[in-house]
Amino acid sequence: MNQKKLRVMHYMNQFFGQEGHEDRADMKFLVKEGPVGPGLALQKILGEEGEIIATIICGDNYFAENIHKASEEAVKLIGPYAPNLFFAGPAFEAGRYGIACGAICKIVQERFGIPAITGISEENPGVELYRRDVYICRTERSALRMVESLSNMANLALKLISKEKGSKLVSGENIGRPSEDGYFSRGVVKNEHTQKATAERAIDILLVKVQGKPFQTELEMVNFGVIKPPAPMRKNLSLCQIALISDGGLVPKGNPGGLKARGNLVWSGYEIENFLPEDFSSANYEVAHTGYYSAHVLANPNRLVPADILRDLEKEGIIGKLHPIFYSTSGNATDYKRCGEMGEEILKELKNKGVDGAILTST
Amino acid sequence: MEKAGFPIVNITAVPEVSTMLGLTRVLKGESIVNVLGNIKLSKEQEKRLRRKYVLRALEILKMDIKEKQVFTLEGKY
Repeated sequence: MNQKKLRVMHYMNQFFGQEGHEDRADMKFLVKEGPVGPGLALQKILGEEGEIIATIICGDNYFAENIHKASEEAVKLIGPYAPNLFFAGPAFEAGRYGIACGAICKIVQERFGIPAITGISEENPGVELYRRDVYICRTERSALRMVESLSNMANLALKLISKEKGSKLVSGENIGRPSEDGYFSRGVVKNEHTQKATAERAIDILLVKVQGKPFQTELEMVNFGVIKPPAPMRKNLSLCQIALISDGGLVPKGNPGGLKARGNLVWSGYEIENFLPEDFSSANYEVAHTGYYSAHVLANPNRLVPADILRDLEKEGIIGKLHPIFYSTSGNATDYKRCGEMGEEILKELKNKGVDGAILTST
Repeated sequence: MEKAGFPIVNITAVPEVSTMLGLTRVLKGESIVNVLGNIKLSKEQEKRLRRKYVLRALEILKMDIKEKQVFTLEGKY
């Protein structure tokens, strides 16, 4: 398939790297030329397709306790080898190792634009932390299944890198479903040609379901996890600065922030004094959101962004201050991960300005 | 924002989506297309209703809660 052998690099912990046990879990990075330990088996599996040019090794504690720093250090060491394929582990059920494998694969594929694949068992926290970012092959818990796990990782890697269908390295055109190719779902929805229309497939699944038989959903819902409720605002309300945020897509006419009406990835801040004054004019707004009927909001934007009330409460001294910026985004078929990032970005601004709490309105 | 420990209340007519996402302070709004308004009311009545919602939201921001909760204008869902 390939004219030239792939240049492969392999990451492993101190134990598999034959540097020691827990006593060496604090060791920093070390690079050995050629394959090491499980790398020898991986080299056999890869055969003529690729050559493991170097093995990068790090202690479990050092990596897991300094994920960001360690990842950056790894990048510096990997760069000079210019690999075009990267493997990590497999880590099986080893928690720190699993996290390290996920983290190093993530940064390697980001920085070098090459596929980086690892293998981890289901209960390992590395799976939940990194499965959306990298291909993680599902392994058994025990390292007894080393060769089998490495084979799965190699197969997936070669599929990823294959140009058979004219795919680019990371387009993943050749990759099957998670259940077919033995990796953890990345939460990616792909278009597929099917013989049956959606309605027929839905009825098929429903009929199987009502019979209590096992069925396979086409769209797995993401498990969003549990959030611990933040502590309430402790200050007297009359001292609190309150911010207004909305995902209803309300923007000034012309949409200067470029919010997308569907699948939006950005947010914008607007000065409330100019954006939504007491004597606002409906003609000055638009709604970048195709997920709801926006006429009522356009007729009176306070229905979505209650600046009128907050202003009154500020004047009456009931709240300390209305934060002068309104943060607008459009939440309609929006990427979950990006939503989290936008939240972090907006929060950074709020904290800089000493905001005590926020009201987020959603449509 | 909640994951970072910041007090924020989400007003929405579909609290099921918010709680599915894990949000903890959720106030059920008036309707999807008009979260803090109601076209059946006069302008003044509508503003009074909106004020009630906002005051309730502020009250929720001051409330100690142990786990995620959906509130209404009157009480807990």
